[in-house]
Amino acid sequence: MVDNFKTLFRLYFIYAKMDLLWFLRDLRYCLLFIVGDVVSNLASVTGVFLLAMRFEGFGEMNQAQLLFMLGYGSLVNGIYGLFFANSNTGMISRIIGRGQLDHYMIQPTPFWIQMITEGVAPFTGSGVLIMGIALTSYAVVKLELVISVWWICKLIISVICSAIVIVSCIYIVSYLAFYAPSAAEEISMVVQDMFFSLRSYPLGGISIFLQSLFCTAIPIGIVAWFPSMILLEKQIAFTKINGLFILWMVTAIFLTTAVSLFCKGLKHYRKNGSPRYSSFGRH
Amino acid sequence: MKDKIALQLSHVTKIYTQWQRSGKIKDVIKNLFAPEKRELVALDDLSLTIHQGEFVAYAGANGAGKSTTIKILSGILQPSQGQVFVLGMNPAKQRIELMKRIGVLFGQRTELWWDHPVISSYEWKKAVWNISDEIYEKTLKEVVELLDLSDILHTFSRELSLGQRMRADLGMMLLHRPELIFLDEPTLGLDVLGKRQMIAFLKRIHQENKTTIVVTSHDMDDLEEMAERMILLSKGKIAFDGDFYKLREVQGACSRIQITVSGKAPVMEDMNCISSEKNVYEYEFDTQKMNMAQVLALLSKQPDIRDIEIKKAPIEEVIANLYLSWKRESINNQ
Repeated sequence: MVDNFKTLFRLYFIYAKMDLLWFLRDLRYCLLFIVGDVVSNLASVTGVFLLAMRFEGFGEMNQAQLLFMLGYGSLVNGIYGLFFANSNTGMISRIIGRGQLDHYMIQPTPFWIQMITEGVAPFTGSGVLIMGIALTSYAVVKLELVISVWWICKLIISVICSAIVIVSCIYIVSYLAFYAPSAAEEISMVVQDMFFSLRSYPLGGISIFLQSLFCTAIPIGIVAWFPSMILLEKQIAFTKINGLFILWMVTAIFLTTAVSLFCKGLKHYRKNGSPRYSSFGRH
Repeated sequence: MKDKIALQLSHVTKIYTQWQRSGKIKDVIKNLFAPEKRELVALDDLSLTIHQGEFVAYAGANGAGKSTTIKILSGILQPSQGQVFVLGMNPAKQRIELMKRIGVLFGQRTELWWDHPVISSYEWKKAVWNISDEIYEKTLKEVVELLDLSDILHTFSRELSLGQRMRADLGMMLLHRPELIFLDEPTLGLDVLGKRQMIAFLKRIHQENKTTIVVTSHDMDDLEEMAERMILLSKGKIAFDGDFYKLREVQGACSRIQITVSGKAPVMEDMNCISSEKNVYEYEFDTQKMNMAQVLALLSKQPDIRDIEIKKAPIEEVIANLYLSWKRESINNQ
C-alpha cells in the first residue's frame, strides 16, 4: 500500500512536469491557450447568467444564488479538468475503443494508479478551476454567506463528490466500448457534454419526481444544483434526508458501479483482446 | 545460463469468437436474436520452452498466431486453456512484477509520448518503472551511443521518421534493462539502413547482456541474420522448431550454383536448371545426394566457364514453399 502511494505521487509529479513542459513549449501557443481557455469558460456560463439577469433569477434561485451555482459547476468542471484532461483518461471510451489499453497493461503499475494519474493537467487544465474559484468567491461575497471551516470542508467534499459522479458516469457508459469498440468509441464525449451543458440549469420549479430522477439515476443535478442547495442551506423539495448524506450515497453507488463494470469489461478485454488498434489519440 | 527457462507455454489454446454477417437485409432479424458466430482457433494446444539467453525467431504466415502468443506472454491477453510462465511468473496474475523485468515492443505502435521530446518519454519511463538514477544514467548513455540517438533525443516524437521512431522506442524499452524482450515486427516499414541498425543493435545486446529475445517478423532474411533458433507457426501449431540449417533441410537441403559461361550452356547432370538468362545459368542440387567434391568434378568438365557462385537457397523461398505445402495439405485434408 505504501509503495502504491509512493508510485501515485511519483507519477503525479512526472505528469505535472510533462504538462508544464507542454504548456511552456512555445510562448505564442501558451498565450493562445490561456486566452482561448478564458473565453470558452466565460462563454459556458454567460448564457444562464444573462437569463438570470433578465428575469431576476429563475428556478427558485435569485441572481446571486445562480451565480454561486454556476461557480460551483465550474469548480467541479475544473477538478475534472485538473485530473482527467490529458491522455483521454476522461474520455475512457476512446482508449478502450481504440485498443489502447494494451499500453496500460505493459506498465508495471496498478490500473487504478494509471487511470487517476495519467490525465493530470495542473497547468493546461486549471483554467476552469481558477474561474470557478473566482466566480464562487464573488457569489459568496454577494450572498453575504457566513463562512466557517465546516462550510469550506462541505464545499470541498461536495465538489470532489460531484466530480467523482461525472467520472463514474463516463466510465459506466464507456463500458459499452469493451463490447462495441467502434460504435462506442466516442460515447464518453456524449456523457461529458450532457453534464457540462445541463449543469448550469437549476432544477427548482420542476416536479419532485424529475428532481429526484436528476439527482439519482441521471445525476445531472448532483453536478451543481443539488450541492449548491445544500451549501446555500435551502430546502430541497424531494427529500427530508440530510442532503450531504444523499450526495455521499449517490457518489458511492456510482463509483462502485463504475469500478465493478470497468473490471468486468477489462476481463472481457483480456479474454478477447481488441479487434482494432489506432495509434492516434493517446499521446 | 541457457539451462534456465525464460518462458514456457504448456498446452496453450486461444480461441477467438468472430461474428458472422451475411450482409443481406433478410438476415437482419435473425442476427438480432441469434447472431451467427464462428470460433477461430488462434493457438492450438501450443507447448513451447525458451531458455534464458536464446535469440528466437517466431514466424508464420498472417493469422498463424504470432502476435497472439506475444500478447499472451506479455499479459495483454489470457489463454483460453493452458499454462503460461514467463521468468517463472504467471503474466495474468503477476503482471506488475513481470513488467519490471521484461520489455515489449510492437512495431506498429509506439510507447513514446507523441507531443513531447524523446527525452521526456525516457524520463516518464524512469518514473513509471521506478528506475534508479544510476541505472537510468548508465543505460541512457549506452542506448544513445549504440542507437545513435543523440540527434533526436530533444525532438518531438511526432516529428520523427519511422526509422528514428523505432530506434527511440527500442532505446526506451531497454532503459529498465529487461531480461527478456518481446519484439513484434520491429523491422516493419524500415528502410535498408534502418533494418541494418536495428539488427546490429539487437545482436549486440543479445551477445553482450545475454538478453533473451523473442522476435516476430515476416522478413525471413532479417530473422535468419538475427536469430539462432526459428519457431515456425502454422494455424496455431508449431510446424518447425530448430535452426535455419535444419529448416533448409526440411525443404530438401537444396543449394544453388550460378554459372556464367562464354559459350554454350553447361551440362550439369542430376541438377535442376531453375533459370537461364543470356550466359548466366542457375541450377539447384540436393546436398544430401551430391557432395561438394562431386559438384566440383562436374564443373571441371565444363569447357567455357567464366564464373561460378555457390549459394544456399534463399530462406524466403524455403519458407514460401513451406507455407505453400501447408496450404496444400490443409486443402487436401478438407
